[in-house]
Amino acid sequence: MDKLKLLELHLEIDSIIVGERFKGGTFRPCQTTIPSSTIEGALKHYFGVEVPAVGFFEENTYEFDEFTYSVRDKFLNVSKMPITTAYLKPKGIHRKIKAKVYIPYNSGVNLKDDLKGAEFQIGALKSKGFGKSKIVEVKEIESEIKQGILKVKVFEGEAGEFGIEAISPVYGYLFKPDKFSIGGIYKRALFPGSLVKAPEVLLREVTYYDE
Amino acid sequence: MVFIPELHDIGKLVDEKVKEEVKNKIGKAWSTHVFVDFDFQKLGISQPTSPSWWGQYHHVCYDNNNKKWVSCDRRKLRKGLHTSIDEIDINNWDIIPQNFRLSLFLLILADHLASSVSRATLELERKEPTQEGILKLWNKNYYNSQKSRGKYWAAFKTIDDLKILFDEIENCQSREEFLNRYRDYLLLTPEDKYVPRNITSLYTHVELVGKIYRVLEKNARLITEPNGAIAIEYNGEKVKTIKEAEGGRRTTGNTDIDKGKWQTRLIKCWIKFPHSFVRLHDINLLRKREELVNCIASYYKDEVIFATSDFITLFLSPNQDLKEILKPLLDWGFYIKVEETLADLGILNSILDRKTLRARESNEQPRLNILGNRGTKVYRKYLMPETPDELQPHICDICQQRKAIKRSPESKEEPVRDWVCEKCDEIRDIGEPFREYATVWEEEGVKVCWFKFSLDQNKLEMWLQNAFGEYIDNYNFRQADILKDEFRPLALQVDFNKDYKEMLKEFWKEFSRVEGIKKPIAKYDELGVFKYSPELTKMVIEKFLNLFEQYFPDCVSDKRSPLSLSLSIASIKYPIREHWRFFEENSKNFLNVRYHKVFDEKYTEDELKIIIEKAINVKTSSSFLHKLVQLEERLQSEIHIAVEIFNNRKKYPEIYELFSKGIKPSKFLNLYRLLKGEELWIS
Repeated sequence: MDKLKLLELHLEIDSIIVGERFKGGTFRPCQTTIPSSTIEGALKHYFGVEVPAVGFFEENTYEFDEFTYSVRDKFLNVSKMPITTAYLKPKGIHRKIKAKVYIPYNSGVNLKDDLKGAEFQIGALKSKGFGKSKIVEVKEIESEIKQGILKVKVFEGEAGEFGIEAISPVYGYLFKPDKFSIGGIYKRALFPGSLVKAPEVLLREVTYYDE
Repeated sequence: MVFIPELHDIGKLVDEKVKEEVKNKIGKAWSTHVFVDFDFQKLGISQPTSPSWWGQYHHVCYDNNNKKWVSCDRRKLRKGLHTSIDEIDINNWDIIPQNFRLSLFLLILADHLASSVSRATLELERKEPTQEGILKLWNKNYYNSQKSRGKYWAAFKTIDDLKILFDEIENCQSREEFLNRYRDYLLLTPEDKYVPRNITSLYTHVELVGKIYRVLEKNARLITEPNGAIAIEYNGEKVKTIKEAEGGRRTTGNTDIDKGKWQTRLIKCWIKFPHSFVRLHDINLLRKREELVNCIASYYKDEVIFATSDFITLFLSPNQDLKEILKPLLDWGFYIKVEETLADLGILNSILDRKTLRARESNEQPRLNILGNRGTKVYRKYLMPETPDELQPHICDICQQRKAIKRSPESKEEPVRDWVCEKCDEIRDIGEPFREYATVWEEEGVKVCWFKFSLDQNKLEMWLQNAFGEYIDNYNFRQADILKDEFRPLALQVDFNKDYKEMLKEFWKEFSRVEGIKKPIAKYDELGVFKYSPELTKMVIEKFLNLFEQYFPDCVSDKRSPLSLSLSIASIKYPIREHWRFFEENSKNFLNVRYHKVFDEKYTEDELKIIIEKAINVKTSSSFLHKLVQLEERLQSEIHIAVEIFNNRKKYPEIYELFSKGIKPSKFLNLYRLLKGEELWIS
């Protein structure tokens, strides 16, 4: 069996909003995966490096709640209509949301010491205090490549670095900012549910389909 | 004149007493349900000459001693005195004119594939007595209740009626004509009156046989070899016997496991969409989906075995292009999750995928060897619309798959503007699904309750397999395990889906008269909405319970239930996509209720009934429940509630009974709140 070496980051998060891509309406939903676009953006902002990364929140450590805020028009000095956003908060006995982030070993090994204990913010509404995260553990792991159903959102162009080979993909788009972070482009990505060959840690379930 | 395969079992609609009458009249009746040995001359009836007549020979055997074709005799078959037509070279079918042999050959294959229980295995079995009408595994008393309303299974009850029957074989012009004319009888008659094959309706059986026959027919041809012998070729494979085409019927053991030459595909398609319902107009997408599914089902009426609003099962030959069939859906931005099984005709069935994957997971080598030798494949695929590698902003806010072409105008009602692509804009423009919602109701600022019925096809397959197993276990079949292993649930799935659709129709028949309960999309029966009120909520839940009891009384009704109802209650401002997201959750129970920011609860049917009986409909408990609700809101302590219930167990035994049955107080308190009134809610 093939195996792939990865850096596994264990994160603890107070509360977080990883917004869904769609923006319409005054209610903003929140997703339960950490797409490459979100985590890569955070790593670039805080560590100044561009590394491929994907992640997910660990089940049963989070639940949804809602937060209502109003966007302020600085020019007119008035508040616009209130917007409600869903966010994730720790569930039950958990004091923190737990998440795991994976970085291909070769891309992340030089960062390993910097990542340990690092604190940073990810997701939306950071100014309201959302997204405070701490990397509590960094592990080197080897994960067996198996056939299964993908549980992360990863740029198609970066999938190979995670040992992910699409058998039958479910595509969506993730936003990739340009190097000045002013504009950007939507790039095609593999979405959860895709049938892939991938490290087992990135799979929702192992499957046995013909290829 | 055409060959109509649906007519092959018309003899099953004849009352047994007609046979007696014929016997009394001419001294001999015909055997089984086909008219191969019927004495037309003595009864003064003309024998049909149409192509469909030759369908009567689908169970014929050859008498090896007397060298003639006869109706099959099970005992003689076992002793080798008779040989089934299934094993005889088509060149030797001298009782059938050569130009009808292809039709009969394909009919026999289709008949085998459409049967829920293998005929071959049952022929080795002790027979249980026959049962008169159909036995639906999910509604075992169905036939008796229909009978008490004056209905009866047999369409032909006298000797004179036989003339009508033969006239049908002779002159019937189309399957629709036959199915429509005899629909009521076909639905009450089982595929076979012998246990355990009495569980499928003859309607679905003949409908399936017709579909499978025509799919095979489109891909098969009769060929003449250089030596003058004939063979039938399908997908490049030539065969001369039924057995050669379908192979063995088993995937375990040492016998009846040989590879068949003809393979076909059974394909399950879940129709999904990435769209998010940003505005009320966007639910037009559901209407579009319904229209497209109906359009595909009517254009490919043979290939589509059955379809619901979000699911299609297809029967295809290996060379048919699935993507082409589903193209209309892909063009509108839907994507399809496909589970495809490719297998020999002898073993193909709708749960072979599950069995194969399970065998692989548990490394069940003997079965895997047989499946492997027989070229069985199970694929998971996603069919997606064409998507470019990159998209320049802005992307469509609704489907998130295409470039937006315009931004919706700002208005007082819709202060947030969204980017929309061409297709999603077109879907919005189909019309306003329910004008009152976005105008009157929104002005009033009411709470709304959206509700949706769901039928989970995976759960249905699992339940049918278990239910069939339990049914078999009620009888003392020596080969129970083989019968279970060979079970083909496809026809039952079709019957169940028909009943589900009937149930929804019945629901709306009742509620079309109730003020305030709306169906936002006229032709889509699964979705409804009303201004939340305890009375209407109670009516909807009770009607669901009532209809479930009427249509599916013997079906499981807990978290394994294939059928469920979900209610989602929130302020009218709450986005519809969030209601929909709740409806699409996987871990459903029989009843699922979500009150936005208040509670999420799931109920089995038993829990629901007992709570309604012991708590909701009992006056004496009302004040106590009211007190418990207030306590819970004040203290937020389940332990405290439990102590309170225990201390009052003598005064309010019904509530204590619920508690002692393991029903969490939050479950009955939330249902009590939901069905008893707004005044109980915290502001």
